[in-house]
Amino acid sequence: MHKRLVASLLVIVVSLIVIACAPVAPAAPSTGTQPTAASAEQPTVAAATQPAAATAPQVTIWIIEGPEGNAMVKAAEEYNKKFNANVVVQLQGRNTIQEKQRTAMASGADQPDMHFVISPDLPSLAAAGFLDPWDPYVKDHPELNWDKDFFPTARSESMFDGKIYMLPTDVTGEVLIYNSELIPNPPKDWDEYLETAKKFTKSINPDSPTDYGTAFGGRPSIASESWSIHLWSQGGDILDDNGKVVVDSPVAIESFKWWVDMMRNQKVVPPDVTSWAYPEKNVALQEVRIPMASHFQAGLPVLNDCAQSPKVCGKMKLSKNPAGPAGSITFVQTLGLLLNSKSKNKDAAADFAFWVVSPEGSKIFTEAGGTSPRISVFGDPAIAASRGAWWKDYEEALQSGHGTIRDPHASELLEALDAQISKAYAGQISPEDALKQAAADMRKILGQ
Amino acid sequence: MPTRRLGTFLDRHARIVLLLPALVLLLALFGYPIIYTIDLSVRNVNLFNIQRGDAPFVGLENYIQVMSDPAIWNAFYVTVLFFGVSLVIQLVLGMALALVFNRAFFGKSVLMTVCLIPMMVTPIAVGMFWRLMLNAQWGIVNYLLSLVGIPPQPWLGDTTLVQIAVIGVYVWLDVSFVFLVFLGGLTALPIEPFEAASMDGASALQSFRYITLPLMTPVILVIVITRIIDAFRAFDVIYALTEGGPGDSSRVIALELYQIAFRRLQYSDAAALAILMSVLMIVLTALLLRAIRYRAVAKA
Repeated sequence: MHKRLVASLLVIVVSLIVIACAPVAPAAPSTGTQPTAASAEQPTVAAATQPAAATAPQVTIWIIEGPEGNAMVKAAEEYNKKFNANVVVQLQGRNTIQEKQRTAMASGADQPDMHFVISPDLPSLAAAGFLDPWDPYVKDHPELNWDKDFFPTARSESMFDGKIYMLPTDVTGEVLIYNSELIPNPPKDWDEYLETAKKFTKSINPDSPTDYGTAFGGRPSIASESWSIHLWSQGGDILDDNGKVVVDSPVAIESFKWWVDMMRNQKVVPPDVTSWAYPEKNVALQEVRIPMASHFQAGLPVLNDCAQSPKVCGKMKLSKNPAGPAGSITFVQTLGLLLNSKSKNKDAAADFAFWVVSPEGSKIFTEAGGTSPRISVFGDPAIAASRGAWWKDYEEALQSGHGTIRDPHASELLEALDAQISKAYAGQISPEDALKQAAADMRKILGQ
Repeated sequence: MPTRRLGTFLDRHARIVLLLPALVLLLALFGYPIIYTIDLSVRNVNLFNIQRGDAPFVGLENYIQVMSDPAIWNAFYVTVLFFGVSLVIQLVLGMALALVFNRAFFGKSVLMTVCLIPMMVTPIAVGMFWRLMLNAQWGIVNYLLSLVGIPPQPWLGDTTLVQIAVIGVYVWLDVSFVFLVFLGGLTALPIEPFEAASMDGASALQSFRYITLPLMTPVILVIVITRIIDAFRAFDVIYALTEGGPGDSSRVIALELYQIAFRRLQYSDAAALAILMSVLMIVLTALLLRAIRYRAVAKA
């Protein structure tokens, strides 16, 4: 009897738990600020919206935390207020968002309605069929002014197979950031760059106020990024216009030899630069350990903020990267909104996406800390005044922008390239062998 | 009548009925992912065909591909090196700490809490702050070394130094766990053999060598098992600290698996490697458990 009672109770308890955990029908859109079901499951998620109309369909966006995410939250608040809409921005950790997005899309999930991604990810996601192009909506939005009001690199980086898959809200560029007190005139070409770097390397010049002359992000996952700037300025490339692997061309090999020589033989960069990324470069510039670096412009406001960077604030400037035979090239990454092909709120999502890249939305987004790739936003006097003198130089640098690989296998190709480049940085193989091996691996991936 | 029949059934099969909910949950949470991973490993699934679900069956091709990849073998070697060396150091340090804390002294509780702090820190945070502390320019490790006249070392920029650094970080991170398990084992040891040895004039070292160590062998084997499993799962600390660099000098097997799955987007290759790692872990664990059981039987 006792056993029977226990078993019966257990069955009842389990049934109640199962019922309690069972999926429920989606509730009517919230009228207040609260996390969605997805955000409740994810510790890195935050939701931020203004009260929305009970009838408005909920549109969700996954975006990286940081300036871009904060700007999107602000833009969504304005949009919700103005149009009585229900756009929910969910912030995701910078290091994990890519995996989460790919996994969500691969699973065929209808949430989120839009993904905020960085341009190199676009071709693979589009080729996999996870996205819908924005083209069908373009005719209804003449304010987009696609051909005239966006930087050419932002446009090309947002397209795949002749279609617009990304509405670009943000642009980031790797440019030369330097301490103008130490370097009044930034180097114009790579020879000057090396000479300046030597002058500020203590082992070469004991009077140098800095330990090393320059630095770059050499962590394995970004090993090829900074070198690409030198490569492009020399006229080389990773893939040519037809998608053929040319990273082992004589120009590329010479360029990479020069780059590795600067690091390993000239020793003008810190020896552990192979573990460096954005944070280390920022700290090195803040602490006057280096006078200049190829760095993302996003670091500049921090470096010129006296509360955060008392040693260098007001002295940090931005210039175009040193030039080679093919000119000065800025490594540009465009970021923007992609439409989930499984979304159930495509029209509502499109309404917000086209608004946030409109002249009005772009301005709000940029005022809130983002960097819209709209040329008119760069020319806006109020925004230019709020950003400072470097804003104009940045606009100029973006005119000669270059994106990275545009291929559905970009992630795989870059992994193959970065792996070999990282080995050359570590001295495990020669620069020439590294590029030859990388090219062989890349050709295998592309079936060339 | 049906109520009585149900009651009789529940009486007869109470154990099964009680276990059923847990079994169903286990099957759903563990069984399905394992079966799915095995299925993934014998097909050719990647980012481009995963949603279509029409990936072709390729048999053991992915396993052969993984086994013939030199990068995998390098990652395997790096994993064994890191965790083999750090395990030995952890066992020695953990035992030393446990012996110290196995007796009463002033401030024992406070010191013990301090020793256990590494266990409480999230591994990804461990990787992040050691990355800053090991920085060649402004890291505190080089600063401390400079106080005794040692010049700055590129801990994360040299293929040999990075291995020392990673082993050091893992020792710091895991020694508290080893110490805690050892301490638990020591407190459970019978006191009689030690009293007898003391009466026979055995020194402290002899007592340790001939009584403590043999009695603690099962505990050591349990630690070895858990550390082997941890070795193949280790990802977060190294990801934050070095991302496997410089070159491939700190690229452990779990990091390689991550690269295959999330950068190369070759889900089937990653699944095959995951299955192989699981099989290896199961075999090693089974062998060690067998050793524990063999010792117990021999002792009996």
